[in-house]
Parts: sequence; structure tokens; C-alpha cells
Amino acid sequence: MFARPRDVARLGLMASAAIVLFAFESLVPKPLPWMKLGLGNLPVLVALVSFGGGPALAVSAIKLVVGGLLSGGFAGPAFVIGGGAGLASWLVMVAVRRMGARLFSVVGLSIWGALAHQLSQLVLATGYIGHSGLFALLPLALFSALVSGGAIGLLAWFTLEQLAKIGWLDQGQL
Amino acid sequence: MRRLNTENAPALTRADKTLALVVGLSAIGLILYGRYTAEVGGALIVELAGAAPATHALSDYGILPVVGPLGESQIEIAPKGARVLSAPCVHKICMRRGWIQRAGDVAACVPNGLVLRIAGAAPIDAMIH
Repeated sequence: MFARPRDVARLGLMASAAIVLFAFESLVPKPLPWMKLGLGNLPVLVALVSFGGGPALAVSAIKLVVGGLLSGGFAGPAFVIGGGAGLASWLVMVAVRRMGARLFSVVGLSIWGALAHQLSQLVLATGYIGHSGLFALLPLALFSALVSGGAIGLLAWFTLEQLAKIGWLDQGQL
Repeated sequence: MRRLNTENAPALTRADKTLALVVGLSAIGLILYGRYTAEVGGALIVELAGAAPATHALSDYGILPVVGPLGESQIEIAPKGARVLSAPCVHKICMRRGWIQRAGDVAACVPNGLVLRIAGAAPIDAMIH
């Protein structure tokens, strides 16, 4: 997957950052149970931009499995829904990036990912519950995709900018 | 690919802005659409300050007296939905709200600490992220 050993080390760093952010966020009190920023997706996004699709999926999967084990929800409904949503989000972000890296900035990429995450989550949760009442939450899902996707995208931008300063990124990778 | 601009805030592309605008507008559109097409609710939830909310079926017609800090408010449940029939407050805003019957509709009497809410046939109580 990698030509250079240092990339493996960096990816490990991304994965551990994702786990720490995920665990940290689960400690922060939330106004509503499903309202969270998705800080754990920040390293996924950074990995996608700096390493590509495969490594980003690896970071996402590690975050999901270790995060699930840490929070005790491994293989539970939240795990399945979160995993499916994470996969959908990854797929969409990779597809959007393939479409043209210059079309959307990291912020746009992040909003696409958040949209895929929110919508697939609604679909999966509906599958679990067995009725479509959850689609009443669609406007809320769109708004939170916009807000959380935008916020994570901005954070990713600044993170990548700092990483570029210390020579993480190859020239012009962002 | 674009070079990093380390001085400025993120340079949003036109596609970024379009995406954000489309998502925001569709959310607003869906909210407005939901307002006009909301299903007729199945239950009336009566919340009185300091007490646990009580649920009444909207098919259970009759007059329901509740006592708040100011005195007795009467709630009527009829085929048209639910309404505040009489209230001890000064402005009677709750009574002017009229009949409520769609899921999500609210009538409130702040002075008397009373909130009426219509719940759908299948209320949502939790969701996971």
C-alpha cells in the first residue's frame, strides 16, 4: 500500500488520533443523543487527502473497531449503523475525489461525507426500527451534515495546512 | 492540484458553495413541506410545569381539567383535535391558538405552565449516531 515506511508510521498516528478523538467526543455531554460533530472523522479526511482512499478506509475501520470496543458497543446496533454510515461516507468521499480533486475543497469533500453519513444512518436506523418515522428527521440530518461536515472540513483544512508546513504533504497535495 | 495557501482561510470553491447552498435550502424546503403535510397526530401530550407529561389519545373525546400555578385550564379533545377551552391567564394566547391536530403542533400557556403537544402515531424517542 505504501512505498515509504514513514507513511505507515504516519497512518498509525492518524488511526490513533481518530481513536482518541472518538473517545474524547463520547465523553462530551451532548444536547441530543445523536448530535455530535464527528471529530473522529477528521483523521479519516486527512488520511484521504494525504494518502488516498485505501488508507482512509483503514483509519475509519480501525476507529470503528477500537472505538466500538472502548465504548462497549461493539457489534451492537450503534456499531452496525455507525460502520455502515462510515463506509457510505468513505465511498462517497472517494467518488467525489475521483470526480475531480479541484472541484471541491476539503470542506466540500467533508460535507459530501457528512451527507452520506447522515443519510445512510437514517436508512440503516429505519431498517433496524422497521418503520419510516425516522425520515421526519431528514431536515435535521441535512442541517447537521452541513454544520458538522463544514466544521470538520475547516478543521481538516487547517490541520493539512499545518501538516504541510512541517513537510508531511508532498508539494501541492491539498 | 491547488497549492496550499498558508495565509488565508480555506479557499472554498464554487462547487463547495453550491453544495452548501443546495443542502441548506433543501433542509429548509423539507421543513416547510413537512409543515404543510404533517400527518394528523395520534396523541395529545399534556405537560404541566413540575409534573410528568401525560398522554391522552386524540380519539378520547372530552374535557380535561388541569390545574396549574394560576388555576384551572380546561383542555378539550374533539374530532377536530385538541384545544385550550378555558384558561386563567390574562392574554389567553393558548385559547387563541385554536385547534391543534397535526403531529408536532404545540399550544402553550406560559403563565399557567401548560404545554400541549401533538405526537404522531409513532413517536421517535431515540436515534443513534
